[in-house]
Amino acid sequence: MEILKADNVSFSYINRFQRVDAVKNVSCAFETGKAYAIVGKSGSGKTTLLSMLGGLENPTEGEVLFKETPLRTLDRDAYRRDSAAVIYQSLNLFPLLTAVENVMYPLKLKGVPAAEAKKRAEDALRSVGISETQFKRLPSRLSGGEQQRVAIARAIASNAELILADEPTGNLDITNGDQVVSILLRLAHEENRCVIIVTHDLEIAAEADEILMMKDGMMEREE
Amino acid sequence: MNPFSIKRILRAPGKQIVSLLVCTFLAVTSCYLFSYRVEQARSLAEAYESAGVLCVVTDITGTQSDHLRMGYGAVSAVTDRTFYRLPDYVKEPRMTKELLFNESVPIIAVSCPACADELDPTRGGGVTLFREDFFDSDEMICLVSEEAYLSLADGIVSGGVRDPCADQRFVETVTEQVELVPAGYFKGVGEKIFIPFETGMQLCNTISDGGRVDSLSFLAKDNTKLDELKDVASDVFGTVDPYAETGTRSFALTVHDENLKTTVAAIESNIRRTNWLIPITLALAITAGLLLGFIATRNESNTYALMRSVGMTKRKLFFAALLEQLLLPLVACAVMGAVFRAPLGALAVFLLYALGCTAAVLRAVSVSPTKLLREQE
Repeated sequence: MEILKADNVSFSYINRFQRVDAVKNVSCAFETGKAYAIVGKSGSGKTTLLSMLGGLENPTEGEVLFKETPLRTLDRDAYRRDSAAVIYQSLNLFPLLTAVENVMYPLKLKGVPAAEAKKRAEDALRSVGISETQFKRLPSRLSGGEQQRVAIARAIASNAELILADEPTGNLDITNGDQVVSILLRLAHEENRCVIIVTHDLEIAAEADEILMMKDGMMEREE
Repeated sequence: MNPFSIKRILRAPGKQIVSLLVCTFLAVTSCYLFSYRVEQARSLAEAYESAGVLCVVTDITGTQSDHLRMGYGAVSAVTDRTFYRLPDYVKEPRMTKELLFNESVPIIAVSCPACADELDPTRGGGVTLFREDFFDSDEMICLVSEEAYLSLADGIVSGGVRDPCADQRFVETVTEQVELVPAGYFKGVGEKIFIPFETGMQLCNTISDGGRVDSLSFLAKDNTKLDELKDVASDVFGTVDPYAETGTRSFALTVHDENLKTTVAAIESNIRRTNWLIPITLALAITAGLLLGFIATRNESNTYALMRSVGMTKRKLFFAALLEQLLLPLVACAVMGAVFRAPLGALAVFLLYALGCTAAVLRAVSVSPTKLLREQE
């Protein structure tokens, strides 16, 4: 089922010297139950496209449609809270909150009662392989791979239909990177979520169901 | 509200403790200054209220305040509201007129107990009155010493009264035979006899060419209006002139307000000092709020961006961040306000600290969640 669509979107901004067209006339659609990889060189516009898909930025032209409704017309805070979870390369977790509190955070924002939020957070942490002894650890006492998995657990617990990951393995070793990717793929295939991974790693991209190539702000599709 | 604000504060208490200490210091200072100002204002009011400013009529050279032989007009100037403005500023007029009883005993007409040491309890005297209206009476009654009262055979003081001033002024005088009924007695011994002032004036009218007042003084009714009093008094009395001719038949009024002036000047100086220290303290509060708010939120931009990216609204983020910055300062100000019983001082510090902090927090929370993507790109 098509859940998200970029309809001829462009994004441009003016830096100190000139107008920069970061994304130009990109159209693509995303379905639930599938994992997508957006690949491209640094500066190709893939992160800007992800920020528009995640409701962090509005396109300067075109529309991003979530379930056929333009994001521009939606409450984008609610969209990020309820439907789209973004996983960053780093800086994913609140440094002063424990692993379980980090996962509970969006649930508390939604108004989920504390006991239920805690149970859902613990279940989500277990599902990404975080042991109970690590639940109460601050991010500074978790490895990079564990931190990424806690961030994924946060997306799982919040029941986000869309998971947008920006270079999720960028700071991880191969073993941890593989673990993170396999969890993301499992979320797409077994939990029927739509997972969009931005990466420059072609090996990771190869594991996705669809690959979207970005070059100079434009898209070239590859099956 | 940020779901884990308290935990975030407790886990990184360093910056918050600095703001707690700064706010405690500022709140203590402000509370002290506010309460000190109130206390000084109260002291000023009390000084004006309680100080008895004595105004004494003297001869024009300022050297003599008794045996002045003033005409009754001077008395009217102090007591008669119909023709004079001065009585509005006068409290407790003290007038005396000295006569002679049986050629040797002083008989003094007094308008209140404060006119004579023997009658004034504040100056070691004291009087037992059989008639409460003694000082307002115009009847032939008198006060004698306790010893004399006990030795009176028939309970009546009788003899001849004359005006000694008349001798000095070469005017004819007569001796009037009077019978005075004791209406009380004063402590101790002595021959002096006191009669009501009005009785004395009536006697003077009978035995000489009119009433002559020997001394006149009064208390200022309202110490905050001493300048007005002096202004109004200048219509009736002159200014002391040590070089004036001694024969001049005019009188001066000396207002003994030196002590009050010294006290008031000291208190007003304290109030002025407090009046500029309070704004300085409050300016420090707003500066501290801005600076500490800026320092505390400077490294929080990633956290704020993450909060926004998980769906916290800008408005919620602002209030959550502000709450984290203001929670401990609020506690500090509330406690200090309660301890010093100066809630206004503590509230002023808190509000201005919060204002400074708000500016810093507004700047910090304006971060876009895209920042997290841009930083790693």
